[in-house]
Amino acid sequence: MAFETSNPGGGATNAGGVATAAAPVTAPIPVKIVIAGGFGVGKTTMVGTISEITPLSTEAAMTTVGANVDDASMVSTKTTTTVAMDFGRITIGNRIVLYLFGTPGQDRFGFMWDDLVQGALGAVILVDSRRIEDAFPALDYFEERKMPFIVAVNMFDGGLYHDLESVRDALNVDSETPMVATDARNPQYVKETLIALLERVIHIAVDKSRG
Amino acid sequence: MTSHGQPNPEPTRASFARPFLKRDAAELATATVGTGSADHIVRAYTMTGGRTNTEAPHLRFESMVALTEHGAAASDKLTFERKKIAALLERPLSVAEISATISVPIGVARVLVGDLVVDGILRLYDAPTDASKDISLVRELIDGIRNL
Repeated sequence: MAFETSNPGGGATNAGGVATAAAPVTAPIPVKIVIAGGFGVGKTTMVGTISEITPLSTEAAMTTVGANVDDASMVSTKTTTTVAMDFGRITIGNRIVLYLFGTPGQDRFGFMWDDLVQGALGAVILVDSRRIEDAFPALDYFEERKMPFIVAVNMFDGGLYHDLESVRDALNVDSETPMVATDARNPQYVKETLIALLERVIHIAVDKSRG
Repeated sequence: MTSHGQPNPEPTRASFARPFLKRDAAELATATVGTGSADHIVRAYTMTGGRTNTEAPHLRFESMVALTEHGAAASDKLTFERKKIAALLERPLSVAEISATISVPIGVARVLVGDLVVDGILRLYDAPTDASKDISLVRELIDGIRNL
């Protein structure tokens, strides 16, 4: 497909997403990280803490019908549900645009994740150690798909309720998977959490390239 | 795509306790049906004219587009959602941002944007096929995040 080479806008924008006159030389490269975990674990908070824009919310349609239904009957038989998904954006330099997508909290919308995670760098699975089982659907999903992920235990009230290795045992996460303590409200912690995931991504990529 | 019996629009809560562990391979394959391509999301919406966009490029949620010069010149002639999208795109935005800003579900935004790319109104900036294997890109990201 032929695209024009001129770039009419600035890929690098300032906080709040206000367009600036600064036009980048290169086209933006969009990438994404998925923030997964149970309902109320702090996914949207984490996105908002580091996003340069106020997190946006979009509706995704979920359908529960198989694809073997013909066009005419599709209208009457398919069930469509919508689910809200929050996301934010970080512009890195004038080239890379990192999107952070929070998965919808309800695990019954798991089917949408295939669309959401396609091409993702990896996932941060956010855990509330008092409700560990809420992380199971996300863990199962990313283990199954062999996508890079780390587990981040969100510190509520400024501390951990359980030490990281106890959480690892309770989640039955293998020893290779990084576990970090984080605070979804604290930019420094969120940065460290994203970096821990990206270092994991590199580790896996290097391992694979060595065969 | 596989046929897998009757759809079950309202599964019981219990069946989702650990949905991806409990499913066997066949069921997992079924779980991806309806999310692997754009067409599952399209036809419920009249905004897209009930079409699937088979010629349009595959768009991810984060795929970014911007107005072409042709698009800028032609934007007065666009109508409804197409006009709204064109008006946003003096700078590159993702499909997700377009969806959120004009308040249409992301599946609908994806079809509308896809059509506008086919029509030459928008240019598409390709997302890396698998960014997680591009080590230099990931390193650049790490440095960038550290310096935020």
